[in-house]
Amino acid sequence: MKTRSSIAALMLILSISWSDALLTAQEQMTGAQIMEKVDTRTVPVDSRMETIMKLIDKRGSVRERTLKSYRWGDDKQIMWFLAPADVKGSSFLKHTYDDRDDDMWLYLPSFGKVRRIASHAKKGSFMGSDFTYEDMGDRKLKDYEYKLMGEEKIDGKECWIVESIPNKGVVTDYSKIVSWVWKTEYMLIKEDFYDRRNQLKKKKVLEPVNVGKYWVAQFMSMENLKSKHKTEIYMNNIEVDTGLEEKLFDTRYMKRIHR
Amino acid sequence: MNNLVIIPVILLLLLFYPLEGAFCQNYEIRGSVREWIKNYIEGPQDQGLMETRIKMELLSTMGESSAFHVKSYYIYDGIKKTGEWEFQEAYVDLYYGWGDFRFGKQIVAWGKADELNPTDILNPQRLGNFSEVKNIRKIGLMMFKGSFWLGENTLTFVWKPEFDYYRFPTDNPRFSFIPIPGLGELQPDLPENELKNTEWALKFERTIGLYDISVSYFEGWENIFTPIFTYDPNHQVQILDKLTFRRIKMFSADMAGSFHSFGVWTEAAYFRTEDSGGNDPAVKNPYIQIVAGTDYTFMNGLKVNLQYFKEYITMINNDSEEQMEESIMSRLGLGFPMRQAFSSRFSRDFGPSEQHSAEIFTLYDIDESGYMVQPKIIYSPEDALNLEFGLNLYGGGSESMFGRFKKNDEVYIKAEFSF
Repeated sequence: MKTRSSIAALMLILSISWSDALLTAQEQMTGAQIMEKVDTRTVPVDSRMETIMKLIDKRGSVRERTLKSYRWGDDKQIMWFLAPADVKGSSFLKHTYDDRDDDMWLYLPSFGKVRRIASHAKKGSFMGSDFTYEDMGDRKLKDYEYKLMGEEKIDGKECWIVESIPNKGVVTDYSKIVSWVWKTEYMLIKEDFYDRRNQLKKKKVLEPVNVGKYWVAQFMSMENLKSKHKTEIYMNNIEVDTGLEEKLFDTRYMKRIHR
Repeated sequence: MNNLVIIPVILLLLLFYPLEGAFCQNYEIRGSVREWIKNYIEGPQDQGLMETRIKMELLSTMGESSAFHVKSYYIYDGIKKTGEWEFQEAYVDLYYGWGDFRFGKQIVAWGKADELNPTDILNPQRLGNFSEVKNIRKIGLMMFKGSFWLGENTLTFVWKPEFDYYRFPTDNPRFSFIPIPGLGELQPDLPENELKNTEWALKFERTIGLYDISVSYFEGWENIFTPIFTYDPNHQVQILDKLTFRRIKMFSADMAGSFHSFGVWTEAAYFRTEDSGGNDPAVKNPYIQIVAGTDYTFMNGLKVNLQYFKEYITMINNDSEEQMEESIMSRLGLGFPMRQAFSSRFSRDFGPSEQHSAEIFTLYDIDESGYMVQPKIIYSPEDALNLEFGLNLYGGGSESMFGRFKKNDEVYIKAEFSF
């Protein structure tokens, strides 16, 4: 009995020490290490969801788009627009790479062909939303210098605040991005985007939800502080690890009729 | 094809549709209503167009393995007080892990350039109202299209048993593309309706780095007729005798991608027209049409799209031969008889959700100094409702097509609601 108590006590001491060590290790992390953890955190092998995108102007009038979206890890995403009627049938495909610019394609049924989105066009708005094509892509770790700015609790979640400044030669709309990273899951839950004059331009907020063994965003908003325009994205019916095949994430699938 | 024929065609297509689909498929009807009023700025006929166009589409999907699509238009001409139905597309899609198949009346868009596509010859166009959007101008035809996925490559085969040709505005003297007396009264001699006369095409596509490329081959018929003249010795003039089509072969390639921050594309097609006797002066020597273009979006959202088009005629031996070749109209690709052209498109979205847009499109015929300028504003007060206001302006030398239209400047308003 005594031996068992001793083992339990030892386990408790070890676990406390381990937690302390983990916390200490976390607290000693640099901005770059945090963002590397964000980049490599575990995400679903694949996921599918229905998305409602609300475009809200400064007077409060709302335009709504409905999409069907599939993801393959963090690397590939394909979306089909289901509503409104005048954009239905359009689709968007993105391939993300670590070592080069993302590839993006847009299919508009009125043209009947898939067009690659050139890098200059990534500054443009994604289907009238406050997200640019650049915002839809993933930032490359190597393209930024990171600085840990502090910590803050947001909605009960302990967060690091990390500043990302683009390296010289990186083509981006922003001079600086400040990110709030949820410590427990290494997940972004808020970001501020600064324009080239270093003025706060846009604010992004994400709300995570636990699906299976993963944390994924179920809500995302982007507000443009200059135009007072806001985009809200609601992810519904999220399914993860559904067995989607990687070959679905190809321009060949963009033209297929979806409901 | 007579529109009445489309009903048995649709029934036939349904036979191809998987049987179980009849019980578990999803249906959807969607469409749009569009009102378009165009007035000539100069008389005498001051009303250019008063058209109501109702688009109806039926879409049906069975899971993710097949789909059925019918697209039709009811077009009411408010000037002539006549209306007609047009079935532009009616096809069945079958999707497999190794390829896609489409059977039925359809539009197959080829080429990567913007509007000026020499390789896009599978569907002819109605040019009666050539300021109409290209996708509506196109005539849907019965075709079978199969796309086979071979690793990173895609091989597409098209078999085209139905033939049709470019329809020019022969009933509107203000927009005569081909100013030949008697052209409107003459019916072209179509290729005989035989299996050996059916057309086919093959395309190979793949992505290499930042570039999407394709090479293709087409074997079939010109889709623009050749006017044949006979000499009238009594009046000592050439008289239009008949309109014919000749067999052609097209070898083509296109590419689209990014170069630094610019979008770039090019499209080239080499045409060989059959000359059975080997010495028919009305047959053009082999010729090449090339389009090269680039686009760029500035920080303020201004989008600029520039293109250059050129036609080269090969195997010309002397000046007189060159003169004769130049007098033969280009038979394929654009519909517009131009040999060297430049186009520009400046556009910008505006409004809180960038729902409105303004655009100026210019097409300049370099050889003949003709031009067409189309400024327009599209205002979208609600989702799915677009109001468009614009001008079609023409000018240039009297030898150019646009120069001949210089008294036909138009102002228009278009309203479209999609549902």
